[in-house]
Amino acid sequence: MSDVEQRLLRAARELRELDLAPPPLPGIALPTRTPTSRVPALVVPALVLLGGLAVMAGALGRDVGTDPVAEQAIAVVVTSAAPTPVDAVVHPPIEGEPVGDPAGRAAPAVRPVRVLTAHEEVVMIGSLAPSRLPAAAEPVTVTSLRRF
Amino acid sequence: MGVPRDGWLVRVLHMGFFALPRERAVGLSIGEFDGFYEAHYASVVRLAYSLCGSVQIAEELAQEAFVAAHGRWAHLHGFDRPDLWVRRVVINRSISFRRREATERRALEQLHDRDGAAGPDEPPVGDAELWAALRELSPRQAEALALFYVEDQPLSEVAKILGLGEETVKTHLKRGRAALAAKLATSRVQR
Repeated sequence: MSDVEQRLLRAARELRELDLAPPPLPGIALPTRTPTSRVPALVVPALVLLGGLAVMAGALGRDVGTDPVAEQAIAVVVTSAAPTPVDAVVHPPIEGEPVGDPAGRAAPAVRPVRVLTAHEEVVMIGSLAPSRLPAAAEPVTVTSLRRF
Repeated sequence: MGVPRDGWLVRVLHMGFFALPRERAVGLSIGEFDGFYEAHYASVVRLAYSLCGSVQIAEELAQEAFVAAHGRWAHLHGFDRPDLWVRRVVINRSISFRRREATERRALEQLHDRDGAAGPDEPPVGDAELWAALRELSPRQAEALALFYVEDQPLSEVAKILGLGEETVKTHLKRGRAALAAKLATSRVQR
């Protein structure tokens, strides 16, 4: 055994003579897997999956004519082509093609503001109450249902 | 009864950074952290001391390593030797401390014009010259020597902790001993 090895072993022996008692552990609970802790682990991926499906469905859009649910849907649209303050209260703004009325007329100022079921009443469109809508505004049958 | 399949975390840990032993066992239950901590605390502090040169710092580094193990105990308790993981962590932290300390020392030397640089304020343990020379070696050589001689770990365990092959560890040990002998001889001549 070389001199260096002997010194290393001697130094290690001296080091072992040090009193190195471990300090007491603080009262921290060990991370354990309890049934309650598994619930969020399942819920979060499920929510992510559902959110992803919803986004995909929204991106693809749906054809109203083939969807029995959509037949009952009413879109509140503003059919006036003239500049109206309605645009300012549309919320949230929706990207995509504007919804036309049943006659198929182009509606440049028309934007869907909310899709309702047949049983719902229009209470508010943005910050504008229905009673304050311009005269040109009227409910029409939806021709292109878009989720938003 | 078959060997349980490794989870993804275990497989990732085996990829090289921690180089944990492949064998898994159910030797420790999740509630046995206290016993594990008490059994290995002193030896982990000694390992840290040999690499950082201060008992106070060594105790802090060891406690940090055990806190890290505590946070991962749900995974670590299934390993055959969770202490190897703790030793790997304390080695990494000791080397990081040495680098930080060297930077601080250089900055202090510039500030105080070399003579006024603050030195260690705690007495060395045992052969101060040897420990100082050990810490001047390359990190790999110092780690191998500390694990093999101070920790008294067999060559195979040193290789597992360092994530190296046994032959590579032998080479580090051989070169480390030679470099250590040269440094000790130089300091003897200077005295």
